[in-house]
Amino acid sequence: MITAIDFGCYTIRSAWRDAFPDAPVRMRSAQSEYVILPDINRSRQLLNAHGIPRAECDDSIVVYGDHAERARWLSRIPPASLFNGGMVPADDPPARQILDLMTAAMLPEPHGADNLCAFTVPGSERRPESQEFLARLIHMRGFEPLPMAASDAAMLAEGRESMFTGIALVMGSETTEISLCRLGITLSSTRLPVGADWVDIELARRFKVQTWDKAGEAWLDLDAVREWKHDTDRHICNPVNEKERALAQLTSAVLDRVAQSVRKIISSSAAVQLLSDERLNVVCCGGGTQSAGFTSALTERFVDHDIAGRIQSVRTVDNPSHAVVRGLLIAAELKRVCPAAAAA
Amino acid sequence: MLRLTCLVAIGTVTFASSPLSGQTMSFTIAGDVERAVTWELDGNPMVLLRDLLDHAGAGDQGNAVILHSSSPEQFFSEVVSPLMRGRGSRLSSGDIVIFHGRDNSQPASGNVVIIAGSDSVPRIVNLSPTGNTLGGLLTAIGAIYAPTARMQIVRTNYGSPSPMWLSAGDAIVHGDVLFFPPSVSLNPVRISRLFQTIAADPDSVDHVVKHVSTGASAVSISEIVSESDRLMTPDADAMPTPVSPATSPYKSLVAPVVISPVAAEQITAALQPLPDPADPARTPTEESLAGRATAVSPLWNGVFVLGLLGATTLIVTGWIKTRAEQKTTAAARPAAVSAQKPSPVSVPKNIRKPQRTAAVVDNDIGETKPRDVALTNPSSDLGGRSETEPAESVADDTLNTISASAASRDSAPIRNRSPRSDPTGGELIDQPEWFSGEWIAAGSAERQQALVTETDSQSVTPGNVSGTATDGSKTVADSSHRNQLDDLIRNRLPVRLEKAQLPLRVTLFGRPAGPKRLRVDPAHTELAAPHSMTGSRAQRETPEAVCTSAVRERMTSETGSLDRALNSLNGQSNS
Repeated sequence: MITAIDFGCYTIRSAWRDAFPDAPVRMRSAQSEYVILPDINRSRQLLNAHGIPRAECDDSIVVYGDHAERARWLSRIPPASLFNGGMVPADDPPARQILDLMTAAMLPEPHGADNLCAFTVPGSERRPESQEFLARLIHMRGFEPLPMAASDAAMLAEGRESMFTGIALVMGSETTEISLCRLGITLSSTRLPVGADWVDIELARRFKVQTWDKAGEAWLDLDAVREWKHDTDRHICNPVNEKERALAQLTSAVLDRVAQSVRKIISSSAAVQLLSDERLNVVCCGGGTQSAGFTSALTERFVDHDIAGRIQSVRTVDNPSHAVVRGLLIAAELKRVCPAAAAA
Repeated sequence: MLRLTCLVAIGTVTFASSPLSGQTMSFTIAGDVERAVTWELDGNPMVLLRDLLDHAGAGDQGNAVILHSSSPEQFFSEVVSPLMRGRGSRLSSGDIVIFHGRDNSQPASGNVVIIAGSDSVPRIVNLSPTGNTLGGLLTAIGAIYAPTARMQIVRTNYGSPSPMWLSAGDAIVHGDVLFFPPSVSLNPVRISRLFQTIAADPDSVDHVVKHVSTGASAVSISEIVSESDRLMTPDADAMPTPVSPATSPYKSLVAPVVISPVAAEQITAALQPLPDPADPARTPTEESLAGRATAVSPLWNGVFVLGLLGATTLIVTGWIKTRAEQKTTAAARPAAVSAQKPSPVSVPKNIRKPQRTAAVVDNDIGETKPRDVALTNPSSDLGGRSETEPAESVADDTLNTISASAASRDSAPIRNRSPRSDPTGGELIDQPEWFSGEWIAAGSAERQQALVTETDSQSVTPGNVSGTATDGSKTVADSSHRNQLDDLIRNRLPVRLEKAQLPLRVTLFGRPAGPKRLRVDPAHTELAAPHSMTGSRAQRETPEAVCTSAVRERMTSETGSLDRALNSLNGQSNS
């Protein structure tokens, strides 16, 4: 069985296909977050009454996955990411165990000879350790792990119209990955340690978008910022008030680094030799690209860095949430059909 | 006498099993479609996603979000494209489909679907271009709700469903599906007035839309609800005023005992989409029928039921008579011909749809030997037949003379014609037939069989002709796998979203760290003592000065925090 799992700092997604012809692509997704509730009987009773899965830790109860949002009001502490800081946490044992539980829940039962699972590794810090940890989790479920960059997967999923040649940009919660590909083969890639969460946190700090728990401690309310940011009335190229101007400024700062990195990778030796002056399509996906006006803002940054002449088009994919996991599934299928090509 | 008794019994059974007994299926479609409607069909037809999209005027490419059984928990999305295999997933009653096209074909006024706990019908509300909030919508439809209430919605504007909770002040966007809790109830009088306004001027589609003033909440929700409800709307002169809840068309939709035009159409087994009352093509007869049927008069209802019963009896009589004559015809055939009867599947189809089958087979006969077939038909000169019956018998005989595989090969291309791609397809296959999707399933199975056959034959290349049977099957499997991979790369496969099943209760080791980086301020452990000014010479700042300094301090703080963030980002870049 061929499967794929995308470990995102905000959502974990998996995909696979059954063996029969014309079988649909089955996908599962769950938020990679958890909330901490006080270890009291009242919390247990409420969770039991509503059938909400829970994990009991030392002195606390943890609700994780999609159910975290339903139970958040019991403590009013904002959810914590399972990949706190964009990596598998070394100082959070429950988070590591929850990752194991969620991996088991997201992947199907293996069967057949070729049990392969392509996966992404979140974050940019301590990446080898995170990759090793996640690979072992997948191996424990009976699949052979196949690590892959999210941007490479995005090119496989959405680069068909451009012959899998161009630039793939995946802006996640914690990192932004960029790959330059030619005919599906990655020529150069880079990873930036900033993503959509950096913009959200700075917005929450500046405008004091906070929430208070029962003990009176103040927390940044990222959910409120995300909800505001993804409103259809927001447009990062046409800000109309102070808050939107701050959003535009912060997003531009991130995109400025993206354009800077794109300029570096298209001037690399491999790109110069194989692509020369070919104009490239840019495919954008990931949660950070869903803001209205994202492509226009990125195009402006390309103009500022004098690389607009090398860009043919900038577009966001139709379904930015599922592009990466679908690309992972394609990569795993390619690995099975033609291992040599996949290895190349 | 015996025959008459049987007819009455059959008529009674037919009436009892008619849609009046409530055996209807409903499907709702909204989003980027020309007609956002709620369809009601009788019986248990097989409705596929593409059928519904075609009827609603959806585009060729996009993403369809399907909420199974109008539930906020059970949903999945499916990619729609011209290259998709088959016609998509089979829909079940109560499904809600929200379509988002790829070609920015969003209608001028967006729409949302509302499902109230006290209301069994999903209702479609058109939105104004901007400024739509949940509170405005509730006010517009006359719902009573608590201002602090939060309501569940499923947002589909990115092509993938995402459940969330909204309060009254939150914005709603095109394609949302709103689930009102049972505490929120729609105002049937308000809705019936909307319908009354719709029917007051049925000649113009524009007048169907009623703009509801929402007062200070300033959300200009424009109209209307489900297309099914439009059908139930009586004429203004036929509707008594003021409208009471007991006589409102909304009630008549859900009341099983009231005979309506919808029910009349369902009894006649017309699986066609319900017509728009504002449609200029709607005949005056339908209009008058609609007015009479909803006039809530028991006498007229009784007359209407008797008329239906009579019509059903006549239909059944004609059907029984036709069957008897066909049996007679079959008995008169020579044994040699009757031994080559077509498959049991094809015979009832020919009988049920004589005209259409004749048209199809005429084409086939033209390609084979029409003269010979006509000569070898011994019953072609039987009297008492309608004009279609000779053609039907020709069809039977033609099917007798050709093999089953040839019949399936010849009929498959005609049946697989899309009504959009081939205008003649609508003549060959009427709307109820293709809307039911039964022929599609059969056609796709045949096509799949043909595809497998072609793959088998093409996969045997000169290089591996001498290989063993195992090699051949492996090659076929590889080829099939490559085709599936190609479908996956082209994004032609449907996507089915599932929920991860997490264990209900587990015990973990350790203490969770929590969202450390989101923590701003720790709580104050003890309160500071009050700093009261006791001296009479205490200098007090003027309110203007306080305000000015506070604003200056805030601006400095905001600018400083943004500079700090940007400097931090630049520092990371340099490092």
